[in-house]
Amino acid sequence: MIQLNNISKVYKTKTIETLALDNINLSVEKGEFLSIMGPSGCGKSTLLNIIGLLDEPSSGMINISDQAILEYKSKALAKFRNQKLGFIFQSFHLINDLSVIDNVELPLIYRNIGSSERKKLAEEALESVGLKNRMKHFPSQLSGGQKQRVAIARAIVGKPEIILADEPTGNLDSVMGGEVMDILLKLNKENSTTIVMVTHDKLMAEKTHKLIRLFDGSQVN
Amino acid sequence: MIKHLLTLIWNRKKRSVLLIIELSLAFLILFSVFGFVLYNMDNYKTPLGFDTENIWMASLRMNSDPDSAERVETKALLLQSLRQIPEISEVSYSNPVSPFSGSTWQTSTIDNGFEMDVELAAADLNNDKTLGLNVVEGRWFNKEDKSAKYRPIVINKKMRMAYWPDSTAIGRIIKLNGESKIVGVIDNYKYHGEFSEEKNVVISLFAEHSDQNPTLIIRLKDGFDPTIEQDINRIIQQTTKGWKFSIENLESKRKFLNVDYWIPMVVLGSISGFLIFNVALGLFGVLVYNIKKRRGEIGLRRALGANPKSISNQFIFEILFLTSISILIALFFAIQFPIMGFFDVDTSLYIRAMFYSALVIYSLVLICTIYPSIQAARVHPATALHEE
Ligand SMILES: Nc1ncnc2c1ncn2[C@@H]1O[C@H](COP(=O)(O)OP(=O)(O)OP(=O)(O)O)[C@@H](O)[C@H]1O
Ligand SMILES: [Mg+2]
Repeated sequence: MIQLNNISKVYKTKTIETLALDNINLSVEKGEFLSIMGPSGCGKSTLLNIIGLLDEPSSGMINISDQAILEYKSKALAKFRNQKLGFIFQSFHLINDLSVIDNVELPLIYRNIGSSERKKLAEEALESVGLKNRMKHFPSQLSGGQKQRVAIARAIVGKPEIILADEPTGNLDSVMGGEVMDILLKLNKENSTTIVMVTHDKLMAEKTHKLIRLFDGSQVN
Repeated sequence: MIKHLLTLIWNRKKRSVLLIIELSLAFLILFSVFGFVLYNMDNYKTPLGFDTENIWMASLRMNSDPDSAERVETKALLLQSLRQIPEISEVSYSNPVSPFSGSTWQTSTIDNGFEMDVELAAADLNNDKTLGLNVVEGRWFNKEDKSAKYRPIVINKKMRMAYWPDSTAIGRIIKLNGESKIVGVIDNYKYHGEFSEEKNVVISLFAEHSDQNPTLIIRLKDGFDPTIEQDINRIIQQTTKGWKFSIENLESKRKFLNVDYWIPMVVLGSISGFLIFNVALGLFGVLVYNIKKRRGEIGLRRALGANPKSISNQFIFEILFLTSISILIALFFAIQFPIMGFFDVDTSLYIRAMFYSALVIYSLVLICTIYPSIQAARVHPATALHEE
């Protein structure tokens, strides 16, 4: 489902060059739940961004859902992301000016789905994260755990094959973090959604199928 | 998509209030300036109806001598003497309500149940030729008119269209200082000046024995020698034996009067131009700031499947929508002018002023949006998401 061959990423700024990823090879099967661990600054987010096609590798090849990414043309990538990928971020990234349901509908808007159909799908997604009763709320009226569940609903509303989660429980206490983790596990199990998750929490990582560790941009075992 | 954007705009409404107020005010300022300028330019565009090149005018102040017979004789003699000068092609008299004199004689009358507001002027038999008036219906005064049963009058086309748009005006008898009969229609007569609004004008025959001070109108032939003014001066002096007068060139007077209109238009135009420039600068700042504040949102939308074009379209749509709301609010106020009839001008003038104001505001907004929306489209999703 995800295939990375010799992926390297170099960030160049005026003063320094950072080798954020150094020759990463990785393969994730369909329905697999992979977690990535490693100290801060080792390149976890960079790796996830490259898998999520939000960033272009400096060298190497990516193959996602049986499609080799050869060209980084914004328009095609946007469409690809929209249809194949779901994102969950540490800081939720909800749009504060939109209600919960409008936030969840967002990926469908870029798929040109009609508003009643969008509403139906968003309600279903919210139902599955247990937040149907908060549809009309705004993000500022929610707790951290609720916000992350909204973000999960948004990630799954378009039924993507792959979910990429960058420290989804990083900003949550252990109870809320546990709830979020349970939803992801259930999603993986019931829908066999492929999930790649960055985490600092060893207990969470142990619940997944496979764990890889990064150190200074390189994979260690 | 549109519904989604409208929801977003609605939820962000409080943050847009100032922008909307600013744009509405800008629209109203433009609306009044355009209204003023268009009003003047419309008036300017209607022909004067008489010539000004080669025309000289002298307002004569007759002696307080009560002997009217002598005055009549002096006036006739003056015409005769001036006609001797080869450079002069025509001379005639009018009463003090003459072109660019600043005098008006307004009256209103109720005739056959409808009220007429008119301005009265007087002219003699040769006035049409001296001033180059253009008779479009009927005829100018002739000798027989002096002894006609009804007082003959010539009106302008504006009056003819105002009161008898569908039928003829010639031959009509109206009650205006006694019964008067319309014998002719001239096309225009904007004797107040080029920028003035044309009024309903009624010209009657200037009686030879009138005790009103006459205005002498002199038409010179093309290429006349400017020193002729001295000869004219001398002749008037000698013939009238002490009447006071001053000679003016109608063309210079026309230009002089126009300055009074050009200056306020230029001043107002400059001030509003400056204001609008400031509005544009402010708007640009607001838009750039808006994009900066919403980088997180842009990054997120890009991650979820928005392409750069749909991002810039979103911001352009947002600002154009807010602009339209602002214009609608401003229009609500602007439309009160024609509805309440605050000024006696044509509704089409307001509509044109609204149209031009909207055009300027939309263009301004579009220009100010170009750079920020390109910026928005260029936001790199990974970087923007990383920032928060
Ligand atoms: N846009 C960028 N420009 C320059 N350097 C960058 C950029 N993004 C990341 N880096 C550098 O690349 C390295 C890896 O960063 P990354 O964000 O992937 O780390 P991380 O493992 O996610 O860390 P954390 O656990 O703190 O989130 C860091 O040294 C970071 O400074
Ligand atoms: Mg990170």
